[in-house]
Amino acid sequence: MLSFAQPLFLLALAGLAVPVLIHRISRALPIAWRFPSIARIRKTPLPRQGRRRISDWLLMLLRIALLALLILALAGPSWTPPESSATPSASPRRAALVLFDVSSSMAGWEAVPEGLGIIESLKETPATDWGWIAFSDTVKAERLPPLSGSDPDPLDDIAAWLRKNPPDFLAGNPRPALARAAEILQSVPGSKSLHIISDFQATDWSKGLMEIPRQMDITFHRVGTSRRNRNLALQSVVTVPTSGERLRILGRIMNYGQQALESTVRLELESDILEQKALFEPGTLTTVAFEIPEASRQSRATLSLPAGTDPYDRDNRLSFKAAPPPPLDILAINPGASSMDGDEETFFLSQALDTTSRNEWIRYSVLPVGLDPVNPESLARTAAVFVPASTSGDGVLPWRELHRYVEEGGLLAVTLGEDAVRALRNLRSAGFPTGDYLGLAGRGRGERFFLGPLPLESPLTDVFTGPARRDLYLMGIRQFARLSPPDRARVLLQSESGDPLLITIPVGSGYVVLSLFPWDRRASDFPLRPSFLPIVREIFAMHGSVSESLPGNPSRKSTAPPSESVIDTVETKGLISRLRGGSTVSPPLTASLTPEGRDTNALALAPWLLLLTLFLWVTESFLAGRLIRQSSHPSSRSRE
Amino acid sequence: MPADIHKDSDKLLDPAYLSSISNYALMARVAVEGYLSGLHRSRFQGFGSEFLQYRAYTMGEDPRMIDWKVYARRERLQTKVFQEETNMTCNIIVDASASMDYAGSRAACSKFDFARMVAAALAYLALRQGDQVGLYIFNSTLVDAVSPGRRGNRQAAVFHSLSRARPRDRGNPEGVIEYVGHHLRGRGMLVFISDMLDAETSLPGLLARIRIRHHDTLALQTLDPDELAFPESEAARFVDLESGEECVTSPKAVADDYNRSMTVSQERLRRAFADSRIDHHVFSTRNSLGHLLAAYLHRRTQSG
Repeated sequence: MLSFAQPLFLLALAGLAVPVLIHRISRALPIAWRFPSIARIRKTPLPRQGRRRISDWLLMLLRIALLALLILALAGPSWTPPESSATPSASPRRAALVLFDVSSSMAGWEAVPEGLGIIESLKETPATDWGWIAFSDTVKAERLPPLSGSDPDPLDDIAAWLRKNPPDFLAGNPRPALARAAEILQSVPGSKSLHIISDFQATDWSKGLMEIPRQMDITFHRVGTSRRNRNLALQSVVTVPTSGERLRILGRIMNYGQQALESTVRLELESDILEQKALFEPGTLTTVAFEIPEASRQSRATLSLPAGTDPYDRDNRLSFKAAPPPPLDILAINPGASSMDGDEETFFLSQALDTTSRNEWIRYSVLPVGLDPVNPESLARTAAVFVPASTSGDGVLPWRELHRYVEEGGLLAVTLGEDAVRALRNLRSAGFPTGDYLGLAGRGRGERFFLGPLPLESPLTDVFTGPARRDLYLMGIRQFARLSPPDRARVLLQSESGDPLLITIPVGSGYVVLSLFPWDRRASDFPLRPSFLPIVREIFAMHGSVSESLPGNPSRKSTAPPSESVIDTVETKGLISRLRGGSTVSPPLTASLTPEGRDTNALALAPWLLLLTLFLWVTESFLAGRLIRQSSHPSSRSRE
Repeated sequence: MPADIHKDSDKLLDPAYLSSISNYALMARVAVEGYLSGLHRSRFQGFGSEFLQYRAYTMGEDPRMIDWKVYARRERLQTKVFQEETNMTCNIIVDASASMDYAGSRAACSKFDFARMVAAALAYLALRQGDQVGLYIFNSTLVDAVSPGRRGNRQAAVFHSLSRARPRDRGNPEGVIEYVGHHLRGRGMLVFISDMLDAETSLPGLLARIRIRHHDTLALQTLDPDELAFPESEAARFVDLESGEECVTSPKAVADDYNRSMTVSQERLRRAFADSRIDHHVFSTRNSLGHLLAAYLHRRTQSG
């Protein structure tokens, strides 16, 4: 029996009329022929009809056959001998396996009740031995088809399992379950079939699938179709401190539906309930803001959309603690805690960040530490590391550890003082790009350097405008290390002579901020200037994206996977071709299938058709080339 | 020159082979030497009056050429080689009009390339015999001329002139024939190489003016196989190489008419030349150069 994997391609057979039309339309066009003298040549009318030579007809037939074979090959034909199709009738009983999707998306749109109804209807299928597999991202539970028909009905079993176990909070991945189903069914003799009950959500079923042997029939049962065109998803909540010890709560709500929805958003606190109406445009992320008073801080809170807003309510509720986000830690390393230099820089940094953290969303807390807490565990919880000038020349610091930390996305701020040579050597030996050291400027007494114009690429140009910039230019520096910055470095501040004073160097996913002068009063009046606060704040905030992935991030995310809130589903027509070999097949999975598990009787005809197409194409090219040569003019060698 | 080339003189005279040789001096030498080696005995070697050189005797040479006095003195057989001196002048006129720039699918080369090869071979042959050679190339005017004489390297001048000529414009033989006729001195030969298209009425009369001045005249008509037998093919838009005029026709339908007209024209030309006692030879660009050289030598013998 002839069958096609892509029967829609057969519609293209209508295109066979094209070569016929071309042959009907085309006629012998006069070709230019440069001739010595046309005095003896008289004019004649051109023949009215097209070329009707036998070779032309042969060419046309060849082209039609070529096109037809190509279309047939693309349609994926396979031939099953009649005796093969007669095999099922020899075996009276049939093995069938139900694959039930229990991924998070099945928790809504009434998918599970619909699925249970389908299971009830499947019970009426005669002479079938049922087995089942429940899956989300992997196989959750399974029952093999009984070898004899005397066992209790396994379909009752799955219904009971589904009532007891609600869908997981996991994104689905049907591949492991399909592999397991193929493995189970190939060990069962006789005819077999696979019933897949799922909502066929696009995000789950667009993943790579595996080939199911053609011997196994596949039936798709789509569930979760009820009101599938709408879904609002509460994705995350962010708490932000505001002035007056109040707290702002920002909820991010995504409308996955195809139409705008107006809904009430409810914030439940221990003592109060706040509600707000909002309009959610389709395919847009909307932020809803609540501001709560001081009394409500630190209490448990829940942000939710009312029941019945949409048919998938798993992503409509989010519980969190109504508290400001914990401050981000900055480790200020100072192994010799007695040294006053290190203390002074750390003190100024701590004061500056403490002052600027008030009323800000992200707060920083500077922790002066020795060497012991600098280990991968503590660094993983740290937003930034500060190495003052008094410490940067110290070789005992775990520089390689710090390099790894920066490469993984951390921020390291280092100031250079008298010991700049050693500090730069330490940095270089750990793998940091530092550029070339050109010496120490300002060794003379009473010498002062002032800032030059802000470089165009410096982000500080946006921060310092007008009077603020005047204050910046009043800043005096007594000593700084002269450096030729590395290629990828960005200069934030520079001296009047164009020497960089503050640079940021990208390393891996993170950054190193290098201050070429120490932040203490002996080297400059920088920490005493009003400009110090915004500059320090900018240094740590400009890499905000770096710190977003850190554990201190105040955002609370929904436990339901965001991909499961998507309402789009895949077409089962496309799925059947992918399951029948249209998609990539994982080698280990196919290797586990024995040759008996494959439908060896069905013969794929596409390769043979393509081979024949190739042969016809060569013949056609040869014939067409000959005709062109024949019709081409003999005076082609005549020079222009 | 490789020995096997001498073995096959027919091949050496094939225009397809000769047109592959870009150096005209070499091409002419290959053609002429190839042709002469095919003859039973050289007729134009060593009978001149001016001594040229001694050469070692080789077996098979005429023993009459041996200088016995040299043998008596040195006991070595030496033959004397003489430069033949003649007062013959050979003027060659080559048509370089645009209509000569045609090479059909059956041709070995274009008509102009064929004419150049013929001119080069004849010039080489004439110079080899000690004749003076003049060359005139024309289209609507006289394009290039090498006057006959003994000074300088005539052979190089002739070949250089042939190699740089390019066919273009309409053909006007009248001017060049008058010019050549005006400068003719003494007795000699005139070789006129052209396709002679649309000139069957005027050309015999013009060449007759040369003939009556005791100059043997050889009219070599070079035609493409397509012109001698019109090819039957699909519809075509014919473009005249000289005038640029166009004519759309079906060659199948007009082939018979064309061939008939061509035959009549050729017959008229043949009669006109015969009346003027001018040798007229028609050559297809597929023909071997051997026939041409034979025609020249035949006429040269009669003149000499």
